[in-house]
Amino acid sequence: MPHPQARWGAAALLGAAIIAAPAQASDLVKAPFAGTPMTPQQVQAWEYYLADESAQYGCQYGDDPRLTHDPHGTLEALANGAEMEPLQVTLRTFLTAGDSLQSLLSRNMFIASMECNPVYYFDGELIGHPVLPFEEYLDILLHKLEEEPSLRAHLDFVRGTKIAAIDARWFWAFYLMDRSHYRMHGHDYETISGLAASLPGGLENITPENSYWQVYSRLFNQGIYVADTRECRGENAEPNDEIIVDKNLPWETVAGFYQAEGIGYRGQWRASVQREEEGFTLADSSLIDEPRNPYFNVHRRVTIQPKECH
Amino acid sequence: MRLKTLLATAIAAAALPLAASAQASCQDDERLYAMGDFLEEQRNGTAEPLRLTAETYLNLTPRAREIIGDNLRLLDASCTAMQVVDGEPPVRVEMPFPVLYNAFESAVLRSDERTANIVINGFRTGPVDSATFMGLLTTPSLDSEVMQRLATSAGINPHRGIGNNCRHETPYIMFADLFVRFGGTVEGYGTTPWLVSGSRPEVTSVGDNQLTREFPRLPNNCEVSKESVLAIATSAGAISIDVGNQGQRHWNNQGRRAVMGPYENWLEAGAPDDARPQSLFD
Repeated sequence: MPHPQARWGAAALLGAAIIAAPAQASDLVKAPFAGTPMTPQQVQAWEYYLADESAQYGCQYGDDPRLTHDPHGTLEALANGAEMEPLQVTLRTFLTAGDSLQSLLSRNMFIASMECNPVYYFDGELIGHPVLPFEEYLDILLHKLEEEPSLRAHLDFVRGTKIAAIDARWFWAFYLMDRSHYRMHGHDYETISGLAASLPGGLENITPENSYWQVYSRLFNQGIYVADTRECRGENAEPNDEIIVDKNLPWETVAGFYQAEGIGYRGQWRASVQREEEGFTLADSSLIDEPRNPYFNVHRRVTIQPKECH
Repeated sequence: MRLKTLLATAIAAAALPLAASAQASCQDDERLYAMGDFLEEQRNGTAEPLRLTAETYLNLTPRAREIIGDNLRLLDASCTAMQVVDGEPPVRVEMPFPVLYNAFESAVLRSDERTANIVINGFRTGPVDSATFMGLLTTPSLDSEVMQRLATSAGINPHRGIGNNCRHETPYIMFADLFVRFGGTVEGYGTTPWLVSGSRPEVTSVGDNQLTREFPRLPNNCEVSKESVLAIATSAGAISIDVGNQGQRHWNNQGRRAVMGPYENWLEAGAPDDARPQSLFD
């Protein structure tokens, strides 16, 4: 049970957090790709990836539903020291909350991690290392760099967090693109390539097609992989038409990515593009009968195998 | 770039369930969800020691270690609480290898030498069967720099990649190197396991349904050396046998024929621990 004095302090914080800034409290949770031009299909596909990846470790990644459905009631319960299960809060939501909200949340919470490992908040520091989706990691890091451009100022974040593992197909669907498509993430090429260049790593050329990949590779990451390819017989599925919007992405870019990541592949596709209502799609593809999930259900005459199968 | 690591494939089957079951019964102190209260009690001198699982204990930041000090109890694999001295366990605590490896790697990559040293000096890992050990014969990363850092922090000399096309110096370590460094040993099914390698880049566990595992791949067209694999196996307590480098000296040909006779004789003799390969082949 909280100490009575601490409870009074928390009640005062609640006043600061809710009464003075009601919009802040009701807008507490920060969703993936919020404010970007991503299509609903893309956002849903990313949410599917978050759920699927974290489920492999036994949890569901994201902010506690109580913060989405009833933020005021939840914060009030925290301030009153009500008996409740600790809240799962994503690091982005926590960091973008104001000081007052942070103080309230830290009354009874833990930080979400894609690998379900326990992460606690301790007087401005984290105990444990949250494993973050690449999108959230980038969002937090770029915000930090906006406030203080020196990477050196953010080493605690860079060293104390990890980027979640990601299936290569998700990665290329979201992060291999030409220069004109960076706006889909609300970014521009100069920012991302500048970040890649500022990170320690190899001397490879940073290009529009590889700069997100360079950033991922140079940070503390859990790896790019291909899972569950039917006992190494190869997997036909490629990301769904609806989430492929870069009409300029040639097969060679994807092939080079697979090759560099040690993912075996056979076949190739040609970037024949057609205009559809939701954007551009790669036309040279067909649906497969039994998709592994709703977003890997396209066959482009390419099979891939995980590294372990070589 | 790092592999989809850890133990996700190779050692997961046997080791992770062990880790999960050991940890499932142990929970961190609920006060970790509200550390502000704990800090206030600590300042007032009224805080009961925090009970931390090894995983959480090994993830404390240097500042958190300093503030909490010795006011904590470490929960070992059987969930028994243990007092720490100067922030470290007074005896080596046995924990599953994945827990220790994750903490060690994380500490090394964060440049947290204190925690890396605590993993090595304050903990050890238990024995595994030969199938699990074979799963550890893979590299934790494809990044030579990462492997060099892991090796340096662990105080072990990395191996060097070999091969005619190996044009760059390519240091590597395997999970098994760290497993041995953490005090791990390999046990057969009632006997000391035999691990055999010959002219192919693979190693076979004789008593384990003759399970064969290929050596891991290295960057720069380099290869893992047979000597490094057999040396690790020996360090882990296995009987390691090199059946030669000639073309047909591999497990599925002359290698098997050379080894099975002495192996069966050794079993008939009661699998004596002191019988070394040289005497067995005389």
